[in-house]
Amino acid sequence: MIETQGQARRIPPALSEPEVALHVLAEEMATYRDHLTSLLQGQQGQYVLIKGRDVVGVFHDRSEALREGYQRFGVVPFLVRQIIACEPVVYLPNVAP
Amino acid sequence: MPRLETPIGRDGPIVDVRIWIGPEHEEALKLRGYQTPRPLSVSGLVDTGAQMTAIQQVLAQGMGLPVHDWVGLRSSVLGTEARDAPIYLMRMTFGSIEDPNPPKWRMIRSVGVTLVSPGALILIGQDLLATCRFTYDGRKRRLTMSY
Repeated sequence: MIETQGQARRIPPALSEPEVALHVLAEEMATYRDHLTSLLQGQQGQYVLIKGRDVVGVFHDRSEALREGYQRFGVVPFLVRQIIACEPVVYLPNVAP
Repeated sequence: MPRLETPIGRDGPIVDVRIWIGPEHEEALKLRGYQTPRPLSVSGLVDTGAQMTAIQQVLAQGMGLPVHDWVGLRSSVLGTEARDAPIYLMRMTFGSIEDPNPPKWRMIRSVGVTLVSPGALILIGQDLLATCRFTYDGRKRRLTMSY
């Protein structure tokens, strides 16, 4: 904490380049987590397309979802994610995240 | 199966890999009348302990790859902590651009990371290695790989 003219200001920890890159999907990640319970009802294993706060659709394969996303929004970030109950964690022992 | 042979360096075996944007990305660029980028040849470090393939963030950005997913990432650098990391979708295969064999492209979900290794821009993980066979010749410090 740093005192600035009587007010306390918290300095955020420095973000790595990948974390900065991922920040563009922050809204889509929140939307996915908000809708996960309903998405899991009968659509588990399929792929959801999300842009901003909108759940655009659910597709049987990733390629189909990507095509729809590119057609609607162009070559920009949007979320295409397999609907699964847990959030996967991978181990890459030797990289700097 | 095509074969390649490479010396085993200090950090491990480094091989040539070709990377390219995914087919859906390519189609989207063509539909909008943009020129599609050509495949790139880069160095990849073979890491049999990595669960997924990883790409150095600067390379992903240089290729114009949009972020479409994320994954929790653990690494020895982070200890027990897990951090969210971006996922980039791309085509990948072994061998350099000059390779006479036609490329056997695989769609790969690559994790964006700050640094792979000083001599490599791609970390070749278990997903890309799933169809490979190795001979590790420790005496001659050479790795032979069929893919």
